[in-house]
Amino acid sequence: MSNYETILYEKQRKGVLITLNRPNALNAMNQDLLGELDQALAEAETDPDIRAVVLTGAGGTFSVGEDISGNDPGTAWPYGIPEGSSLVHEYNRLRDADRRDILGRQLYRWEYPKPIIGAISGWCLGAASWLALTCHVTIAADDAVFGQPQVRHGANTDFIWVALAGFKNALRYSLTGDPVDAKEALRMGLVNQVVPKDKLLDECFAFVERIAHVPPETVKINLAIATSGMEMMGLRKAWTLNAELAAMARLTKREEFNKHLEDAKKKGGVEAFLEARDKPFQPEPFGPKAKK
Amino acid sequence: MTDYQEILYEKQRGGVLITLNRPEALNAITRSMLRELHQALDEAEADPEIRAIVLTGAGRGFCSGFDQRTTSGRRRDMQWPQGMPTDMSTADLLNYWRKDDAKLLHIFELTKPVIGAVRGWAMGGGCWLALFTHITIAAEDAVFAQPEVRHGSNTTFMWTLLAGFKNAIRYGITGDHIDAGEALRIGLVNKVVPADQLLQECFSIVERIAHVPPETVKINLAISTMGLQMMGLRDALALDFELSVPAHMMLREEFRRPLDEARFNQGTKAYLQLRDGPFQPEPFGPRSKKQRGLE
Repeated sequence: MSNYETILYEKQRKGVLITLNRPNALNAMNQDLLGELDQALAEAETDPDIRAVVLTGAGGTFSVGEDISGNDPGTAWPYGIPEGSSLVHEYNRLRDADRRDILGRQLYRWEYPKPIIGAISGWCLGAASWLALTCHVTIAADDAVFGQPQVRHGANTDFIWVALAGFKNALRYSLTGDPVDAKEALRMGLVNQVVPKDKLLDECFAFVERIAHVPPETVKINLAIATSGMEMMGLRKAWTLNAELAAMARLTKREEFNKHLEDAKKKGGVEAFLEARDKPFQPEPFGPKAKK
Repeated sequence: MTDYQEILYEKQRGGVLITLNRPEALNAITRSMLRELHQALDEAEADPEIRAIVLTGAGRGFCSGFDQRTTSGRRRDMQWPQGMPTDMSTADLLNYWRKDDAKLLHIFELTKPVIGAVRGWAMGGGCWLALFTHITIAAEDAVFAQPEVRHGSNTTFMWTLLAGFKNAIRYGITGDHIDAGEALRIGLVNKVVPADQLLQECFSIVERIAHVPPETVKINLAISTMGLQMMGLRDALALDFELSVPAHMMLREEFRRPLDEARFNQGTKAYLQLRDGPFQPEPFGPRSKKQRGLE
């Protein structure tokens, strides 16, 4: 078994629990974590004891998405690209990264030959929402919140939202970055089931044990009928286009929408940045505080 | 700004309210109204002050569909049992019905979000207009249906895309009306609100969209709309437009002739009574809420 730094890998009850484990950063996904997740999935794939994978986050929250801490290079306005860089360099860099993430990692997990069950509690934002939604089965704790706030500072959505929630629901949330609570996620079809937070992992492993009663070859083939079927229906094409558009989304920045956010981050860090970004949208109409 | 006759174009709160404005005819669609609608959408798309479009209907309904007096159903003396208008060849009919006058894909592919604000009737072509908007908010009194299938006409694949296979077929092959609650359940709309809050709700979404950079909105719209095109929506709609020809051409005397006679001899009301009477009460229509225990 490998030694992991940013995830936990714990075999149990006919499966394995893979935990995104950077709780001090609310499990924000950096390249180390994404690399280890790939490695852990490869390990579980070849282990005959493991019939299904449960994917969760440490510390009661799934993940806040791509790690956006760290020092950004200054932006050259009005171009909205890093100082000293060029448009072609930035486009190439972003496009390569998006193709790797969507057509590489995401499609690998989608086509994974054993069921991946997302166990989602707390924040599940941005790229982490895509990770949660592309799991084959997703079970949410009652405190789960899904959202793509990154669209507010100029970034892309992922077609998996459309595939699961449908056209109108996906657009309602991906055009605004508005978060949705577990109940709204269940209504739209983002998740299979909502359970009390303290029952989340037990519920997921009870499901793993049910899967384990079914012959492995049957599970593998029935998984493929769904996942490959969706690809045949065009999901792969939609994601191919998605990867191209994702780079464009992150490259086209406007001074009046982005500069004040970058200034806030430089002065006050991530917290000030989030405050500047999300304040105009509060209160969130489908967020967890809006239940009443 | 262009002068419009059959619609209203009112900029406000970071967006524009486009209102189908023939309330005396429940905003029935005419060819000239369609021309104005598409012109208005182009105008809004080109106006940098407008971040999103809200599309609604004047008065107590959204839109009752294609105007039967000016478009599809205008009086024609039919030859029976052939089911052919006296003055037209099959070739003429084919050409007539293959035209995609509504240009629904223009709405779908617009580069700014179009939000449908639906109260009252959204019937036939009016229902399609609502479905092809990117986000649809319904008032509690909204009713969606395609009653035209009852006299020989087609549904649109957009019903299947939004409501799913079984739900779309359930309503597409009967023309049965559905109320706002059922529309929400099957996914035709995003949300149901009291009628007096409908426009407020839509423009609060416009204002939320306006906080997001325009390019981001445009691209995220495209990930969804172009993604669905890649998944085959364009193919399905291309077939849909072709199938609208046989749907309108293949008329049976026993189904169609009594309807035509009622319409042209006794008026629209008698025609609608004859067409819709056998289907009443509507099991999912607005008057059936009590039966379903929803009130």
